[in-house]
Amino acid sequence: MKLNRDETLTAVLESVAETLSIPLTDLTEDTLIREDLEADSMDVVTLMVLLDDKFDAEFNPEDIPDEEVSIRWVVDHIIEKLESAANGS
Amino acid sequence: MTNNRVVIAGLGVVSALGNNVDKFWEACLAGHSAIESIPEQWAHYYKSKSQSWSPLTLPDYSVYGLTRADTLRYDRVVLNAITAADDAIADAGFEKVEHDARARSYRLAGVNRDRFGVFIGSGLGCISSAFNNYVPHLLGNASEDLFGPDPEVRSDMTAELRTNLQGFPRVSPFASVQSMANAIGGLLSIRYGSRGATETLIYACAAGTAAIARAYRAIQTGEIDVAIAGGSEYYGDRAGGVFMAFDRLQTLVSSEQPPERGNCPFDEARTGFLFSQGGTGMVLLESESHARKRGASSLAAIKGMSITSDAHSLAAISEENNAIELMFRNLLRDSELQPEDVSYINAHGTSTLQNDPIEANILGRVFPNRPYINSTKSLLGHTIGASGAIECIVTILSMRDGKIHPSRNLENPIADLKFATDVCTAPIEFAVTHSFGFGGHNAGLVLQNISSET
Repeated sequence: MKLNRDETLTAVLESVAETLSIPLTDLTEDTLIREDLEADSMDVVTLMVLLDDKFDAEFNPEDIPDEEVSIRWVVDHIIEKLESAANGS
Repeated sequence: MTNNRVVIAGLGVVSALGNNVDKFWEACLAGHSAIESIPEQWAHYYKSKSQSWSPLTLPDYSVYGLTRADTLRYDRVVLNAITAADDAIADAGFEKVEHDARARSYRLAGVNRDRFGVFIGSGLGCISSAFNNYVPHLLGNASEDLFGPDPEVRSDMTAELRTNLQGFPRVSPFASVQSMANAIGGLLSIRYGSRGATETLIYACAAGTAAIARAYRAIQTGEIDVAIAGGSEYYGDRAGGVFMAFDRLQTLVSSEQPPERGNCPFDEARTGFLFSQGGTGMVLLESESHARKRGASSLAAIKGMSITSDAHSLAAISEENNAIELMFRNLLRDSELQPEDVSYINAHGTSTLQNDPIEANILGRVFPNRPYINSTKSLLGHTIGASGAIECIVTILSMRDGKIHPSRNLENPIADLKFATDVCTAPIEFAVTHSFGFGGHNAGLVLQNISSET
């Protein structure tokens, strides 16, 4: 399964904006979710639930590092996770 | 002891007959019924005796600033409570000032948040979330144990599971907080910044009435100035599990009657109650002095309350072993009224074989003056923990307009009481609304018409 990176990025940006009630224009791929946006642990879990719903896949809280999680990291994580699931690994 | 007069300043409703108060009341006066056939897919799981229910059309949550994330985090019973509470606050004329955009929390202008409480009744709370999270837990990793090694069979089962879990086939990380009944009051407290008591009353079908009664008492005795109070109930499991539970208890309306006749409280032909998917009723209460200070007009006053317990059975009331008459006697004493002062009673009136005659006998004994009586459940069906709050709203609107909605399908009454079988027009100064709940809970309120005072 090959995911379109731009579409994945858009979905992640929209989910972060919705979770934290901030404008999309405030976000870039380099934005750090905890450090720049002051997301707390409940915000991160909410983001995962939204991504779970959008991509129909299970994202586990323990997969998310404690620090320096950028939007780029989330996009790469989703693509990697979905591609490995599609490949049966 | 402080004895504040308590007024009701705002109303909000989510119901099978409309999700705003005006539409809902219009449908009540027209005697509309919300009855429909149960979903066909429920028969895949269970052949029920009852074949009818009243489904709920959910509000448009986005109108209330609620997002997709909120619908994934919180049970619908919570979201419905937020929409009805928002409506009640707006109806009461409070200005909502944004406090925290990210948390979507507000402050009510002119309200001391330390003297602001939330009192919520519910029957089964957030049971849909518990169901919808437990099933994937049970069938997910254990699927091979349950369905054998054949991957095709397991795949079919997984597909069915996904279809029946409304697109959320995994256990949510929010499962624990999503399933708590006190999430309803907790989220309301967070949304409006109230720091007085937040109480959750699990009183089954008497929960909504009991919650308003407790809020009334907290304001009357000076503990708080303002409260959001009411009841919320919602069953969102697509397999009809809660319906099945009531059906197996033989409490629901039989399929032997034509559906349009099936739900008939206080009628000889009654067979059981009409299962409702849910509803929400919320009222905004405040002390009269608080309402005067902000120049607000009020819809009604609460004159008294009473709560008693049967101490007899979890699911049945008997003529000999109930504390219903005690509840009414206490209610009149608390309100400093005589029975003849009461001109309208919004009855519990479920349409069950056992309860209706007991209720009718007691009403006849306690109120020999023959006030008007109707049953809102004849229209909506039974919304369990929300019913008392919705019926309180109906009672207030009846007093406001001097109109009593018809009790639908009441052709052969079981008792010689003054039942409203058509729209009745009458001035109402004092009215009673009451509820009985599984667990032996009885709760009642006396409401006072204050339109001539303003």
